[in-house]
Amino acid sequence: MMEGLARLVRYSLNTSIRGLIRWTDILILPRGFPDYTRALVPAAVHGFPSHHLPSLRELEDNDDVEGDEDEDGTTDPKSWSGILWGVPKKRTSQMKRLRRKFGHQDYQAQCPLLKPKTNLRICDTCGHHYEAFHLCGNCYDRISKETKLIREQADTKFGHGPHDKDIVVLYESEKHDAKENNILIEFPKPRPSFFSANLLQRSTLGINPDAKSLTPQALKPIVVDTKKE
Amino acid sequence: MIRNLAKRCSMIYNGLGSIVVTPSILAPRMISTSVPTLMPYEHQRGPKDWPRYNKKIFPPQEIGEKPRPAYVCHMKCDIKYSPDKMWWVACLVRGMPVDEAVKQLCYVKRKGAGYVKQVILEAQALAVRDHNVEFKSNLWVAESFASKGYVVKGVRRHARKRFGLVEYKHCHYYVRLEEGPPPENYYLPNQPDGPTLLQRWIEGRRQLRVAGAL
Repeated sequence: MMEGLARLVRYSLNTSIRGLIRWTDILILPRGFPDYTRALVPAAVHGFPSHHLPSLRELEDNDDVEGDEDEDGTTDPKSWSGILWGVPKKRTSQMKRLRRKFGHQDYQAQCPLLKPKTNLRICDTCGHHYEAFHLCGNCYDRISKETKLIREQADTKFGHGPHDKDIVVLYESEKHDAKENNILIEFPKPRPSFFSANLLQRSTLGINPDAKSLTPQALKPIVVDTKKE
Repeated sequence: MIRNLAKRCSMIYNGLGSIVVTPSILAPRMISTSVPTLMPYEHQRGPKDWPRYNKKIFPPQEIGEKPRPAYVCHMKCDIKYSPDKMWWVACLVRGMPVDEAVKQLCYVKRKGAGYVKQVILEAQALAVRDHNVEFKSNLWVAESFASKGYVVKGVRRHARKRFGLVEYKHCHYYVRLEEGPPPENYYLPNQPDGPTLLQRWIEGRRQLRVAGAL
């Protein structure tokens, strides 16, 4: 070890790089430790041309460390010694294998087995199951079928023009005031239970024709006269 | 379009524009497995032992013997799904009543869940029609597992003149429904619950004796 160090010091003093000793080159490495110091040294140092200073290991062994080069100029990976590839070192024990597959009672959050859901409820409206805090899928399907029919009819009635009129959906035996300028969509079937007539009403507050501004105070509520019915 | 062509010509389209030819022995398997009937020139492929359990005839039971519950064995072959992935879904359903199993499978976001649900519903219908089961809800999943189906192997390219093997895996899914209420624990419980542990401790303390007493 001391001989090698002395050799290195003499070498560095004799080189044309003004006796510059890189700290990596005087690093004392234990026997058998792979020499990574080459990677630490930058190619050009302060504008000086890149000059390969031999490491301590090289001086001791005095042999070529580099492997065979391919036609492309790249080195064959298999000839690199000391490089660790992503490969298992030991076979996984049965305990580890089973724990990864089946989990452990103390670590149920990491258990990969599928767990049954406990947040499933029964819909009051249709009786199908749904996930808590989510929409009932069956109800959504029922309603979306109806709205799809309405939207298809509305699209054909508006055509390529602007959607500037209100849509009024009428089911069988329902009448509408012809004076208002609306798009009428009529279905010959009875009104479904989920589609109340009030749903298409824009607001419970009516429009005051005398109002000069659309402030909430200017609007007046629509009062449904139930006595007439 | 190329994918459809490849299907018909029993070739593999590996998604990168190249087509690898596979043996034509696979052609009959390309027919949809949802169609139960076979052409006259075809024979049923796949496992044969599982549906044979349905045909088994038991000797008459003795008086006083516990009645043997009715069961039905059903399967679906050559599902285009990996058997390892199907195993997770099969494990979930074990030991559940059929209604609970079907309900849970609706919320499992895996391709195999749809197939398992279909098989269980078919098995439930078969049990009522052919296997003398009175109530279709009085069934539980006694056995649920998957096995390897046929594997189609293809090749794909990688960078730097390297090639990779591509496997198109299929699996068979088997289920056995049994009549009656399900057991409390399908597998042995991990650990006894609090009240059981407490009872054991109390009994242990009661068994203590004073040494050397008369």
